[in-house]
Amino acid sequence: MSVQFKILIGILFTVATIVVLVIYGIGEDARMARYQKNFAARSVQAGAEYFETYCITCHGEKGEGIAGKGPALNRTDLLDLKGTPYLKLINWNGTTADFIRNTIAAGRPQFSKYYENENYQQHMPTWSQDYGGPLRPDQIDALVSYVLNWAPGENPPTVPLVTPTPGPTATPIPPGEILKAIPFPVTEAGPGDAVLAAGKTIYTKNCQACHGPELKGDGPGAAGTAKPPRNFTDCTAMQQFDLAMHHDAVVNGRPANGMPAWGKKLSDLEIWQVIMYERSPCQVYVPK
Amino acid sequence: MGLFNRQIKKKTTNGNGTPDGNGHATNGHDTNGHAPEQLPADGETGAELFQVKTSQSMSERLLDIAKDKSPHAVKELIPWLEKAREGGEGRTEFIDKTKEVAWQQADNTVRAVTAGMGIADTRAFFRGDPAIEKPNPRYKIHVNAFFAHIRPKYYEKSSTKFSHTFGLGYLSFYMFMLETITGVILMIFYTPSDRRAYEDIVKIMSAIPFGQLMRDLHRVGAELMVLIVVLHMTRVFLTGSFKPPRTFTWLTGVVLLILTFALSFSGYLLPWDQLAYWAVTIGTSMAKSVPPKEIVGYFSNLIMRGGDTINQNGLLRFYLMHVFALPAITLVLISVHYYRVARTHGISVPAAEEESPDPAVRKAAKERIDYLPELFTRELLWAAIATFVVIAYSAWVFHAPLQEHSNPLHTPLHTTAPWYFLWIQGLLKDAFVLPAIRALDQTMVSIAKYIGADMPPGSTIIVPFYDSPAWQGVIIPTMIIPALFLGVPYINEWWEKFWGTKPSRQLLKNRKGTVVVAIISTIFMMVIWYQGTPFYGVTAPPAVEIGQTFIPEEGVLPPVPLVPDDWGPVRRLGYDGLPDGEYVLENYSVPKPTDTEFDRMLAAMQQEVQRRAQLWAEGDKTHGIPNAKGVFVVQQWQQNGLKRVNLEITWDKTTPSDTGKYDRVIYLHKDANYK
Repeated sequence: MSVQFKILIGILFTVATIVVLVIYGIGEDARMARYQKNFAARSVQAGAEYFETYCITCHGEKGEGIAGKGPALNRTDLLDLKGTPYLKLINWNGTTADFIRNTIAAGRPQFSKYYENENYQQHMPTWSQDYGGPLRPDQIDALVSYVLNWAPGENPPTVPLVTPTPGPTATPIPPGEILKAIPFPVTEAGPGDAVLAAGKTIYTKNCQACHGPELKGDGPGAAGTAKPPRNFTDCTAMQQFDLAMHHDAVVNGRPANGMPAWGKKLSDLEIWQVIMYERSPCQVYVPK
Repeated sequence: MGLFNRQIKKKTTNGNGTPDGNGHATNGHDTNGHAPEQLPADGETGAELFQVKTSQSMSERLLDIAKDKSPHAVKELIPWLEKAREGGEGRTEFIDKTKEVAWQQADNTVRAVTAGMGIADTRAFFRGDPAIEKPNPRYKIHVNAFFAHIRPKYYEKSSTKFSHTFGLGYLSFYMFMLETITGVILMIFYTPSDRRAYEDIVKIMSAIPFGQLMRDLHRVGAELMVLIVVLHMTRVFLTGSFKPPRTFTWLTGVVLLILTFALSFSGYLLPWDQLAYWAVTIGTSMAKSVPPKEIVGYFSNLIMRGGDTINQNGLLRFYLMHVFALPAITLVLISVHYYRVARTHGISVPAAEEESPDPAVRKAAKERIDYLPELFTRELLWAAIATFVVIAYSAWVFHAPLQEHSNPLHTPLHTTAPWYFLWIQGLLKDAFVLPAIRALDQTMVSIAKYIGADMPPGSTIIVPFYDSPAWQGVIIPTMIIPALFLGVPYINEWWEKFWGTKPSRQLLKNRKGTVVVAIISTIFMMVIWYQGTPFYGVTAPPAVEIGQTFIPEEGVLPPVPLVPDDWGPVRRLGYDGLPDGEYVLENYSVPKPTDTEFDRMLAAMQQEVQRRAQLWAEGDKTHGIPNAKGVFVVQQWQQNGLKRVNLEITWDKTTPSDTGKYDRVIYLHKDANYK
């Protein structure tokens, strides 16, 4: 190849590169806008998943609220971005997003006056890792975008937004009935190896992160919880830990401590299997 | 007229001869360059130069000032100007002289820029003509200019054949430069903090013009750099170029290969997404197994991660390794490596030519080919082509993957190491040594039994002492492979001495053993590389596998470089492609001509579910599902464009603890784009 030919081809490729860059540059604004939209959408999706894990126990599956547990989030007075009478009522000067982010991150040390006539069992706990909760900042942002996605968007909603309705309160199992509620036979010797093996699988997938691989409550997630996760190998404490209480803790969670509710994520059988596995180190399968 | 003694340093030979008949210009001609600067005579100060002599006319005054203050080239014209003022012949002479001086000025400027070549030679350079001046001014550039100085003046002709080197060494360095440039640009917008890193990457992609292109280029360059460095090494091995006198160069090359891996791997963590977090977790967990575990393993893990798991400390460490320590070491080693090639032994000539019995061939192979301009323009051409290819590829074909924010509490299914470390992951699955050790163990147990030792069933003798992660993850890869590569030239030398063979670099003719070894090790590498992929030896429960096929947890990266990630058919159909409803998959087993894309996806799901049911019926309990059935549910979840998608697989319970049901749930927003 002669030098001149190489120079010619080289110039052609350089020009082609510049053409590619110019074409790319022309579409760059539109691409960035698309990416932003895409990322916002993914944030809502992620928020929906976190909501299912952490929030539905009190705020309901679709944010409709559960009487006695938590207020509705899917509410016109909170999310109608033009009106927001609620935020005006409490003299909040920031944006709705900031309000929701603050509430999730730092919780509510006391009940809102807005809900004076409702009787909630517990306060909104702190969820941010900054305040001893389990959630990272990006998770809280995702939850905010999910909650805000209930707000009426560009298209007017065809279905009116949900207003809080009293739902059925979860009835705890009476202590005497507890053994009957377990879907497999349990004796003092335990439920058998098959159940424990199944329980171990569920435990490894869902619980191990905080309660630790050896059930000692020392998993990597333990660092982020408000109270240290239960150590299932501490037999003195486990003797005190009633089976019904254990079941309730798994089903409804202990949001104030950082324990999520598993009632909607796991089936009843799975919950009992994992409870049996968790009680296996101290062999406290049936109430004394 | 000493002030006019300044003479143009060089004269070209293309017709601009010395000025004729006029002594001024050539007086005091100094072949060594500039004449010493003439200072004003004693007692004269600068201020006096500006004193106005009222007796002079304006033009005379201007002329005086010109004589004193003009650049030397202009001063040189003054005698001609004076002559021209007399009119007649003098005018033409003045114009000719002006042209000549201008040419020489331009020529000097070009000489300064090209570090040695005048205008005529520069022209010849770009036309590919031979040099005009003697001595060759192109060689002078090699003396005067730094970047030309580190390049050789000439190469041996055959060593520059494309089919001999494929330009791989040059391309490796090109990729290193590409990584440096794009990397520095990315550094502007990146903070190595576990709280900011992911957000910053999203900003680079969504708010920085050309940010995504820079990130894609950086990724493409990284993958290509690993690929090209490996190919470069393969080429050197196959052409026997590692043999003396190039042994030390080969050693630096092996270190550079390891540095390339380390550079690429340390950059893997920085986006701080799930892919980054878990790939690096797998990679660094090998360090834990370095024996003795309690000391070396423990501390190397601690030093790398800055804690038990990867966190802010680990991120900062990887960042500093990636942007400072490793590039600095690499740059030094590249310099050493290149200096050997350029100054000590040159690129090898093809063996067949070098060892040819025909002296004419040997002589032709070693004919000189100048770097300037032949190889210089070739390199620029390669750079132009490579730049075009990587930019076009990054703009339209490949986009660097970004998964969800890293989550230490959730390991995505089928997490793998980067493709170039899959072979180590394959080794970790221990498909060869562990079975061998087990077999040996069983033999020993039988022998012990035969002797009369008490061996209850399930007894083992040596298996408990075998530490699989330490051997397969650390000892074999880090001792055998680099040690082997480092030792290649020395083993080869020893081998030749042992058998008394004459050293030769011809692969097919004289190195048949090498061919066999190369083929066997390639096959072995391919096998363990395959074993590193999720296709081998990893079985999630079968229902989970179905979910993973259609709705993977994250974008699935294929185990090969430069192929974009795939988010599965459900996400590809997206919000608009998934009509609300509850779809029983059994109804989709028979394809209809009216099927939409959605129907065809349901049919594919049904096929997979059926296949699993069939496998169970045939007795495959690992991959089969008893009487599997599937339902695909799409629900409108929020009015503002959010759907909940659930793939529900049910089956006959085989044990009381069996749940008999698996749900794979995702949410899809109308603006989410996974295509």
